Order: sequence, then C-alpha cells, then structure tokens
Amino acid sequence: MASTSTSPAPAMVPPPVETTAAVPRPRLAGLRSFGQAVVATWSSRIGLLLIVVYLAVVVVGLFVGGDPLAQGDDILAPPGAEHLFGTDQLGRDIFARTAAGARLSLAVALASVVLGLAVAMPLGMVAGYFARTWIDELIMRCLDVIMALPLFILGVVFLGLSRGSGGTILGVPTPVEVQVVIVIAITTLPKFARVARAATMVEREEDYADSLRVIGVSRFRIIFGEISINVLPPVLVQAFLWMAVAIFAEAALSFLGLGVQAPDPTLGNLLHDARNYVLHGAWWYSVLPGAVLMIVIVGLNLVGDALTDRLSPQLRD
Amino acid sequence: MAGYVVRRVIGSFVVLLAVATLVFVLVDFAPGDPARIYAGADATEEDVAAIRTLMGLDGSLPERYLTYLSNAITGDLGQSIFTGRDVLTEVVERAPATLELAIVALIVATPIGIALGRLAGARYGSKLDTAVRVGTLVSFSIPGFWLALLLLFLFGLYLPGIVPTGGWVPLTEDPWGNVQHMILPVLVLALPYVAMIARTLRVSMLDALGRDYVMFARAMSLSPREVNGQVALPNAIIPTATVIGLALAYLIGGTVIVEVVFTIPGIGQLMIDSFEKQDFPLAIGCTLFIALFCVVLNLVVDLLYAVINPRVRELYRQRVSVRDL
Repeated sequence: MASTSTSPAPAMVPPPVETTAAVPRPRLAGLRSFGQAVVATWSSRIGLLLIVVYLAVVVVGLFVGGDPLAQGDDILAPPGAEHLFGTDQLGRDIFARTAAGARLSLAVALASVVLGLAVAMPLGMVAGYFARTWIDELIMRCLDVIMALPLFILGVVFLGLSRGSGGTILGVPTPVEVQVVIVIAITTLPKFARVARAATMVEREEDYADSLRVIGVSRFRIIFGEISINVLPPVLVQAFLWMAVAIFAEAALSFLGLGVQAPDPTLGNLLHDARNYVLHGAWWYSVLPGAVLMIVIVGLNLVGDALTDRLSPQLRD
Repeated sequence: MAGYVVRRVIGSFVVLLAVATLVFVLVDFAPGDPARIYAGADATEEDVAAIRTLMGLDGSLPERYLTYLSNAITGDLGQSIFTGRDVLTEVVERAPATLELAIVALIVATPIGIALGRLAGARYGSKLDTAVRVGTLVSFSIPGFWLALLLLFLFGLYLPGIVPTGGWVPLTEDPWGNVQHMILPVLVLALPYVAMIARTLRVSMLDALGRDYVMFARAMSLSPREVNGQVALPNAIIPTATVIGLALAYLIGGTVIVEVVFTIPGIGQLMIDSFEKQDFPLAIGCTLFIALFCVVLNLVVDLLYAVINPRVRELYRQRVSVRDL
C-alpha cells in the first residue's frame, strides 16, 4: 500500500498517449476491468458458478421450497424424493429451511456490508484527503482500536447483553437481525476505511483534483462528488471480499445461538439445531446446510482472489 | 527498541481500557436492573436497594465507572449470580483449557503456514503453488463449526474410539489424555490460520523475489535455498507477522466455537453459557479476560517481530505504521 502513495517521477517528455490529464478517465472504468478479471481464470469462473449455485438455492427455495416452518410427521427422515435434504426433529423440510436460511443469511451479510460501506467510505475519504493531519490521525486511531479488539467477542457481548434486555439498543427496540447487521458492519469498518483512505490519497494528487481546487470547488464537493467515484472500484472489490466474511460471521453468531432466533432459519442456527442430532446419525441435518454455506464462501473467495490479483497488477506477471 | 516496547505496552493498555469502557457502556445502557436480577423475583425493595449499594450501582455515572474500573484492576469482578462464587475464580478455573488451545493452535499453525507460503511463493505458477493456493482457499473457507460437526460425525459415530470427540483432561493430570483431547479442536482452530499465514506469505514472497536485492543475491551466486530462506523470507515476513497478530481475533473467536462443539470447559463456553443464563457479572468477567489475553498475545507477537526484523524498529522511528505496508 505504500507503493500507491508515491507517484512515479515525471518523465522529461511525457509520451502523449499515456497522459491522463488531457483525456479524463471514463467514470468507473475500473469496475469493468474487474468484471473482465472475474471471467478470465478458471478458478474465478468456478467461484462464479458456486455463487450462482447458492443464488439458485435461494431462488428455487423461494418458489418450490415450501414453508420452512411447516411441521410434518416425518421426523428426522433422511434425504429422499419427498424431502430433498431430509427433515429435522420437528419434521420440517430441511431444504426449505436451508433455502430460507440462505436467503436470510445473504440479506444480513449484504445489509451489513452496505452499512459498513456507508459509514467507512466517507470516513476513509476524509482521512485520505486530509492525510497526515489531526483529522486523519483521529479517524484512523479510532479505527485502530476497533481493529485491535477481538470483534467476534464484542459481537457476543453486544448480542448477549441486548438479548438479555429484551432486544433493545440504547433503549430503542431493535430486531435481532438488525443487531447482527450492526455488529458485522462494525467489523468491516477498519478495512473499508483503510482502502478508501489509500485510494483517496492517490486521487487527491491527480490533476483533476488540483483543477477543481483551483477553480474554487468546495472540498466537500471534491471529495464526495468527484473523488468518491474513482475511489469506488477498489472499495467495492473490498466489499465483495467481505461478503464472505459477513456470511461466515452471521453463521458463526447464529450457530452460538446469538443471532437470528428460532424458528426462523439461517444457515448458522440450522447447524446450531443440527448439533444435537449428530450422534443420532442425522448426517443430512448438518452436512447439507453446511455444504451450502461452504459453497458460497468458497465461491466468494475464489472470485475475490481474482479481484485482488487485479488490484495488485505487479503479481500478474 | 526500549521506546518501541514502551509505546506498544502503553498502546495495549489503551486498547484494554477501551474494551473495558465499551463493556461498561453496553452494560450500563442495557435496560433492566442488574440488582433486581441478582436479588431474584420475590425480593423486597429494601433488598434490591441494599444489593444495588453492594454492587456499587447507586452512584453517578462517573462514580460507577471509576468503581467498575478500580474493581476490575484489583481483580474484583463480582460474584456469579448463579453459583455465588467469585467471577475471577470461575474464570481462572476455566482459563487453562482456552489458553492451551489458542497457544497450541498458534504454535502448530505458524511453522506449517510459513513453510507452505514460502514454498508456494518461491515456485510461483507451479503445480505446487496452485495446490497450495486452492488448498488454503478451501480450508480458509470451511466454516470451523461445520468442520467440527463433520469431525464429530467421523470420529464420534463412524470411527469411534480413535480420538476423543469431546471433553477435556487437564495437562497436569494426564498429559497424554490432554494431547488426545486437543487433536480435533486444534485441527479445527489451526486450519484457517495455516491458510491465512500461507496465503499472506506467498504473496509477499512473490513481491520480495522481484526486488533488486534478490537479484543481487542471485548474482552473488547464492543457492536458491539461501536466496529464498535468508534473503527473501526475512523481508517477506513482515506482512505475515501482522496477519499472525491480527488473526488472533479469529483464533479467539474460534476457541469459543470449538469449545462449544467439543464441550471443552473453557472460557468461551463459560461466556456463552453465562450470557444464555443472563449471569452478567460472569459474562463480563469472561469478556474482559479474553480481551486481556488477546491484547497480551498481540503485544507479544508485535514485540517478537520487532526482534526478528529491524525494519519494524526503523519504521517505528519514522512513525510509519506497519499496518500501512
């Protein structure tokens, strides 16, 4: 990251084709090349396929999965024609529960990453624009503290305490899904802000930023109007990478019984319930929902890998 | 070096204070009256008031905060609501299992991760590199609690009797039994850690091998083994050391999960249990202890890599954060 903050020494006669000052970069051009990076290698194509499989489970479950809460007489039935993933201790269809859980897990992960972005990006951009001033110091030191804490533990504390108090945060009644979103969003802050800061530090040295300053555009508009658009690609890549973390974190918290509460399924609390039936031999109960969870995390990480490679071009050679 | 140590130690205290403050705020703003919970449903108003005074809950906010802090510093974390025993005693009783798990996982994972990362980085693009890359990605992506459940199936149901799948034997009572009970939990804990270390080191090895000093070392006709091990590796290790430090949070989170699945009587299990029962003094004690452990481990890692790599000390002198690298 240190290398991005130092601009190359200006050549005596800049080659005309490579000058960026005269020809403004097309907006969000970076994102397109990230898209190309995703379909470029086999591993990221497989990753994409795994993500599609996960989304297919979500969508198929929505239409043909049936009611995830409907109880039946078939208790702990193994997978078969009637119940694709078998049934649980209350005779509920595990495929329906997995699909509904996958949907809720995805929604929670997406919401927490979006919330994390919404908070971290302005912080990171302000820190980057005012790099090495007290504003930067203040913002980054606060985020350092967050990073140094075992956030999983804080999540446990936060969710554990608020559950004990009837699901309220600072007196405001908050559904547990929202609480999980807030906890996970906090974990994303340091990384997102760091990436936004580094990108902003590069952008503020660009000619267009100088020109805007010269013609008297306010700093607010430079940062949030112009620079933000060019900071977006690396930050979005980071956000994508953190989807895997967010899905995992949600599942882990639910697995411990701290996330979304029964009877609503998520991939985590399905496995929480399944834990008691391991020694009864109900392998489908934990293996299948867990496999769906793993598929999406592997998929996101494979695609994320390709995106990270694209972010550090020196490694492509 | 002394300045670096002092700064890092002070920094660790600040983080601990931040955790303690945050926990205080979360508890203090949580609605519900701890004194009333403690007193039970059929307590009289006088009882509740007496307990409130006893727990130091009747002062103003700054007063309560200071009482809480000074009590925490002297190790007085109150009593468990259910057992009535000192929180500190309960926590210290449970500590060895957690500490042992985390430290053994760290000790097992670090050399394996470094070896894999070094090999893959040095042979970039080879089959071995691909294998390490894919293998670490998959093992990094397996949710630990799911892997733990799979191992429970395998060794608890289908292949019983090979390794114990639950419970705990203290090291002091039965060292061999202790090792056996650690095999599965440490496997689950170490796997993602190995992967994280290997992946980080692989990338920075790649970066280091492209540098001029490596070319110079090659020109000096050092053997590839010497170039990789003695020139590239020490330079590539800094980001990895950072990851080892940062990933401690994962490790601690992991011990909570592993303790729950393998029914190990550690602090993580105690913490989850006490939140479930709303035994807040005990839950807070567990949290503070885990935070302390995490911060101390982080400090040790930071200081260790200042020892291995002089560049860290130099960066510190120039006021550059290692995390910016």
